[in-house]
Order: sequence, then C-alpha cells, then structure tokens
Amino acid sequence: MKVFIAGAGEVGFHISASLVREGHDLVIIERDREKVQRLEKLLDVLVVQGDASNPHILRANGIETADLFFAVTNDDPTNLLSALTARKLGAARAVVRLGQVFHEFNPLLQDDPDLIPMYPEKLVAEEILALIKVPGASRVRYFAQGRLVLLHVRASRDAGVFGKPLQDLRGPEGWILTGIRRGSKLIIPRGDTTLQSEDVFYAVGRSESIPEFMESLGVKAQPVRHVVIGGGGQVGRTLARLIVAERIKVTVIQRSAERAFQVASEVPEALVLRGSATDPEILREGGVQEADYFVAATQSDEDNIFAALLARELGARSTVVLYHSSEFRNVLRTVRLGVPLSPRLVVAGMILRMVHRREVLSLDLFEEGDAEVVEFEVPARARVLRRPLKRLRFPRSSIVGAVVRGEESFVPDGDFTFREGDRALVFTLPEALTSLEKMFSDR
Amino acid sequence: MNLHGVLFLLGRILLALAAALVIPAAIAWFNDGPELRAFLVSVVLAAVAGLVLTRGFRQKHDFRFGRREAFVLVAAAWVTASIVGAFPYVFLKGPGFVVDALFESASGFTTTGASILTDVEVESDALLIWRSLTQWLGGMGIIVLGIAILPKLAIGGMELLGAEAPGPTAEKLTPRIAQTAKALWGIYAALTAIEAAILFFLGLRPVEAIAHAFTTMATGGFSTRNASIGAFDSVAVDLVVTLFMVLAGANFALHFKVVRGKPGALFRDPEFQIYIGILVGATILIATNLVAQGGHDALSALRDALFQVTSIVTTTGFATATFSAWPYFSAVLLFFLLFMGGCAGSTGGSIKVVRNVIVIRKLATDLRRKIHPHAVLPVRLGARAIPDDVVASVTTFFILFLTLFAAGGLALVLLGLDPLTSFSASATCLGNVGPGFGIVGPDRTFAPLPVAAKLILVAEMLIGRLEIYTILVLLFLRRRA
Repeated sequence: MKVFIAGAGEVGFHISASLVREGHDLVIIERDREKVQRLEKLLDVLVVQGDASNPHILRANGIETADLFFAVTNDDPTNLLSALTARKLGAARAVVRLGQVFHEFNPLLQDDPDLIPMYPEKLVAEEILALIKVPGASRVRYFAQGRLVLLHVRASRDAGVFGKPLQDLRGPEGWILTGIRRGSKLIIPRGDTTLQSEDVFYAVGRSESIPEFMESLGVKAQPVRHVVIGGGGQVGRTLARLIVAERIKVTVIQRSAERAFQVASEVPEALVLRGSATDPEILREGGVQEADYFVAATQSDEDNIFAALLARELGARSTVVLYHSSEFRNVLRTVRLGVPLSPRLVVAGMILRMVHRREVLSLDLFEEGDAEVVEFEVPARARVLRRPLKRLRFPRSSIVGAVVRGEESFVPDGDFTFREGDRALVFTLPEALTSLEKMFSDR
Repeated sequence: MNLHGVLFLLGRILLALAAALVIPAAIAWFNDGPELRAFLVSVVLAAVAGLVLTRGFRQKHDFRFGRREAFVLVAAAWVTASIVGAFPYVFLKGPGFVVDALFESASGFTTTGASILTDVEVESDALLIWRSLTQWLGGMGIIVLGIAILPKLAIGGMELLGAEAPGPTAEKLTPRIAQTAKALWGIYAALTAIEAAILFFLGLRPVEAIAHAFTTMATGGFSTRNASIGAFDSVAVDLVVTLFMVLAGANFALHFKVVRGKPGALFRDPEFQIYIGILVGATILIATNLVAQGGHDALSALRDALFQVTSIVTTTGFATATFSAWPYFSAVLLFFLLFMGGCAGSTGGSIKVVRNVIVIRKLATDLRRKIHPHAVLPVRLGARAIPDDVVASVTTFFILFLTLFAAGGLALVLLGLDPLTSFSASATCLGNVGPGFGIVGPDRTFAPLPVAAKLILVAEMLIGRLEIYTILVLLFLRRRA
C-alpha cells in the first residue's frame, strides 16, 4: 500500500515505524529540516522536506497513486488544506487530524466520504469519560453499540478469587476473562490458570452488568461525584463538557488567564480555577482531596506527572495522566500513576487500524505489541463455521471475547457454533494473528 | 481636536432641526393658527445658524473623527437640539418662559416626558406635535439619524454611535454603519406608523394618534391630554400602548433580526427574557397588592398595574392611574423600577435591564470568590460570558448613576423641596422616565419647581440620555492631552 504522511511529529513518527515494518511504501512530508534528517536516518522511507499542501510536491511524489493520505501535523488548517488538496489530486482516501471540534460542522468535510476527519483530543476525552463512569477500572472500551464492554481492572485482595484455578470460580453471567497481565507478561487464561494477587484482568461482558462484575472482584464501585481536571486545553475542555453532561461536579485548573476565561465561558457548570495544576494550594482549593478522579491534562508531560503525584498525595482517589512523548510511558508505568493515556497514540492506533483494513479495536489502549482486540466478521465459508468453539483448535494465545449476531450480542461458551455474518471480538496476542486470520477468512 | 468638523456637523444637525420644525409650522399654517409665526421664526433661526456653520466650516475631505470629537459633538448636538427645541415655546409664551421652555424641550429630546405645561389640552395641535416630535427624534437618537442621512460620516461613526447608544456596547448590524443607522430608523418609523394607524382606528384624532405613537415608540411619555393615556379610558388603547411600549423598550437589534427573518431572535435573547420576566413579575406583585390593600377589583388592578409597570420600566412615563397615591408597597416598588430601564439598544432610558443583571450577577460571583479565591467566574448573560472589562465598565456606570441620582436629589432638597419629590424627580429625570412622586406625581407637573431645580433636572436628563459617560467624559477632556 502506498501511504502519504504529512507531518513527522510524534504521531507521524510512531505510525511510520509500524507501517515500514509491515512493508508499506511511505512518503513522509515534513516542513522541519531537522526532523526530516532524523527520520531519514532512522527509517527506510522517502522523506520530503516541504509543505504538504504544495501541489507540486504532492504530484512529484505520485499522490495520484496514493492509497491513503494522513494529515497529522499539529495544525488544523494545514491538515485540512493538505488533505483536501491530496483528495483533489487523486489520493484514494485521506484522513485529517483535527483539534478543534467546530470542524465537525465544516461543509468541506461533509460531502466526501473518503475524506475522514479524526478528533484525537475528543476521542481521548471520551475515553476518559468512559473510565470515569466505571469507577475501579483502568481501561474501558465499549463494543457493539455499547452493549458489550472490555474492562481492564485489578481485583481487590479480599475478593476470594485468588489461588484457585479459573474453572472453579463462578463469575457473573455473561462475563469472560480474556487476558491476565502478570508483571510484564500477558497471559491468555485457560481453565486451569490460577489467579494471583498481583494480576490485572482484561474481561469482556455485558455493559448492563458492570456493577455485578466489579462486585465479584471485590471492587467497591462508589459513584463518581467530583472530577478535578488539571489543564483546560482541548482535551480538558472537551472532557469537562462531557462530564458536566453526566451531572458530575467538575473543577478545571488552568494557568493562563485567557484560557481560563475561555473554559469558564464554554463550560458554565464547571468551576474554573486560575493557577498551576502543580501548585498544591490550588489543588486543595479545587477540592482534590475529596475528588474521585484527578485528570492531568496539561500540555506538559512533566507537569502532568507531578500534578498527578501531588493529587494522589493530597487524597485524590484515582488519577488519569495524559502524556504526549512516548518516553514518559515507562516513567508512568514505574510510578504506577493511575491510567496513562496518550492522544497521539490514539491517533496512531486509529491510523494503523485503517491501514490494516480491519477493525482492530482499541489497539491504542493496550501495551504496545502485546495484545489486541480484533473484530472479525465470519464469511460464508470460514473454517470457524465447522464445529463448536471448544473443538475448533483455536490458537492458545487468543480467546473469543464476545459475538455480535444481528441485534444480539453475547459471550459464547464452549458449545457455541459460529454462523455466517457473526462478528467475533477476539482478544489475542500478536503471534496468533496470522492463524486467526486464516480461520476467519473465506476459503 | 477637529473643531472644524464638529462645528460643520453641528450645522448639519441645525439644518435637520430646522427641517423638523417645518412640520409643526405646516400644521399651524393648515390650521391657520396664531402660532404659525412662532414656528416660522424658529425655522428661520435654526436654518440661518445651520447655514452659517455649514458654510463657515465646509469640509473639503472626509471626516476624521476620534473619540474626543465624538464625545464633544454628541454632547454639543444634544444641548443645541434642546435649545433650538425651546424656540417655539419661548416665542409663544414670552421671554419669562425661557427656563420652562428649555426644560420642556430637553425633556422632549431626552424622551423624559416630564412637563411644565399645566394644561396641555389648551395648546395648539402644532405645539403638541412639536412636543411629541422632539421625543420621537430624541428616541432613536439625533446622531443615529445624522449618521443615517450623512453618508460622509464613515470614519469615526462607530465612536459616535457608541457615545449616544443606549447600553453597554454599540452593535453594528450591517457591514456599513450608515446602513445600520438607516435600518434602525426604518424599523423605528415603521413601528411608529403601525401604532399611529391602530390608535387612529381606535378612535383617536389623527394628531393625537400620531403624537402618542411618537412618544410611545420613543418611550418619551408626552401626552396630548392632562390625564395622559388615562384620559381615553379605553382597555384597547391601554393594551395597544402597552404592547408598543414593550416593543420600544426591547433591543432594536433584535427587531432588526426579526425583520430579517429570524422571528425567534427576540424570545431567545436572555436580556429580553429577563425584561419580560420583570414586567410580568412586577405587574403580578403590584396587582396583588392593589387588590389586598388598595381596594381595587382584580381586573382593574391587573390593568392598572400592567400599564403603570410597563410605563415605568420602559421609562415611557405615561399614566392611567395616580400611582403616587397607591399603597406604599406598590408605590415603592414602582420607585425602585425607575432604576430598571428597558433593554440595551432600546429607546428606553435609565440603567437598563442588562446592566442591572450584570451588576447583580457580579455581586453573586464576588461572593462565590470568597470560597474559591482563584476561581475564574465570568459574569454570564445567557450562554455568553461577559468580558471582565465590560463588567467593570458597567459597574462603574451603575455606581455613577446612583451617585448622580443621590447628588441631584440632595441638591433639590437643598433648594427646599421635600425629600420624596426631590429624589423621585432626580431618579425620574436621570432615568428619562417622566413623572415621579410627591408634587411631581403623574397627576401633577414640574411647573412649580424653582428655576435652579429645573436647570439641575435638565442637566440630569441630558446626562441620563447620553448614558452618563458622554457628558462626564467632557469634564476630563484636557486640551491637547
């Protein structure tokens, strides 16, 4: 596949690396000379220095043969203009990364189905909201129009689920444990797997029975009443708006006076404090000591980590930390600060998914390279149709989490047999992907 | 300072006033009345003065107008208009009437509606029309009119509009300021014509229908009858006048949007909603009080309360009842409503709904700030957050208004008037309402007041009509500063 990427920032670099590894042809257009040179050294790609909306540059590099054009610079107008130009010049599909949500109403984006807008900040905000609505979980992802959910959650020590093999445990109806993170390893559980107290679970089940599931793990789900957000940027603002719509109290801390006024006027229901999120005085004034969640969403990774540490110290029950630079991912894991989220990885995940042309859901959410949730549609002559699930010889490192059949969706048991048109959500380690693809392909 | 430009424009305004004076002169001529001579002399005087200024300070280039020129011109224009407007009264009633004539004329142009004429019913049609016409011209603003008819005044026009416009900020409705001015005057004239037609069909004499339409739309309040609108004793007339007072007290920018095909604009506007809320709320309170303590029956209480409340809140000043003799609660509530005023961008005077709302909400946010010292708490109006500098300016206005009200009232007390008369007269003139309480109640006139009191009130009327800043700023203008 021939892929153009406009902008070699964090996002551009991240996706380039993955796409090159997968054997795609990449043309990267970047304005900054230093970035161009760095990229040329590190990756086997064609890097062009210049403006991505320059038709000469696009034509000279064969834009008319491009299968995909990604406009992922940090500037909305540049992205919009270069994607529109690329489409006009013949790129088959173009994806535009946009920060400002008002572009949703831009008529330029409305009549071309192959010009696909993407709002990473909004996606991240929605991601955080989903988390907040399921207290105790550190990842929440909905499928099948919200009827099914994948949770990432740690069980309470006194839940009584530890030390016994899985087949002896009775979880709530309609839930399945699809993965266990033990230290740095990810395990796909079998009936004889024994749970240990340090384990973190991935589980798939019905959205309406989330409370029952959490209860079975001994997680006390106190309803969220107050969220403090450090940083009133695009993510912070969007999140504040989403949270007040859920009738949850929101406090936003924003350093610049102008931004603070903007947040206060856009989200009237939120209390906006002017000051630094790393100032304990301000955090206390915002009531972080009684907050159920502290979301660190400033532009600076360092500030986010520091603010979240402070908030936790002051008594915030849970923290969510945004980071932009991938170097911070490991730091965040070491200090074990609540949930780390990266808007850039969200974009990267979406883009990879589009290149793969299959619904790799929430790839962005999981630790890089260790697990994916893949959605497969069952074609007419697939191998999985032949016998019930337990006799299918499914790869050991993957597990069917849920099946969507028409309007129905459910967690299958061993006696379940696929039908044509079913959609399967498979939780898998990367090594099993190839054999899974064979099983679900039309022969 | 572009003094040449200011004087030239002043000349133009004098010519416009001369043209306006032709209307009552024509009526006098048509009625073959003895007042014709007074009006003709007035026309000639204004025209000659205007010609001298326009010829003497003819402008070779387009005007360059700054804030300074804007303030000076607007203030000078209104003082000039008040003086020219007084000519007919003086020529009709003699030199001893000079102060009273100035009072009546200023009360006209500033749309106050306070009168020194003890018996208007004996006055000629020509004078009654002139009286109402001054209010009509002053209602939308002589500068707005000037901008509408003076295409040359392109640069600095916004400054001028801002110096005269009622409300915290002047709003351009169209790309060009002259179009905005024309649109405003067009809507104003159309509404006036409609009201005059309806009143005519309800049986008023043409002159009376037109005169009352003039003074309703201007929220002026001059009437052709001693008993004001009450003289017609008609529910229909009451309701029609009430409706048009409400429209005149609403923001004309909203009327413009309605005319441009956005009928929802009026009712979606937060200030308009609060304005209607105040009218309804005060009417219910007063009607209840009138039934409970005033011995009214429910229906007449409602009718009187609605009319009086609308008249006071919109700062029109018509009356259908002697509200100064109402039970204390109703009277005091009406007194407080003298400080309410219509919406920003209306022809109404006083503080204006939006400013009162902003000041009250500012108080609320300041109290909240005691708990959260770092909180960013914008003052809101509907979905809009008001920028802090506008809030500060509105607060200053509010304080200045109350200070001037208190100072004016105190000065009248010093002149020997009773406190009720003094403070209500100060409030009613500063707010451009009209009738007050005590000896200046709705069934009385301002005639018996001492000369000094009348001059103080004239100053208050002009300061109030020009939204305080325009006049007060002149005191701070230093030469070549």
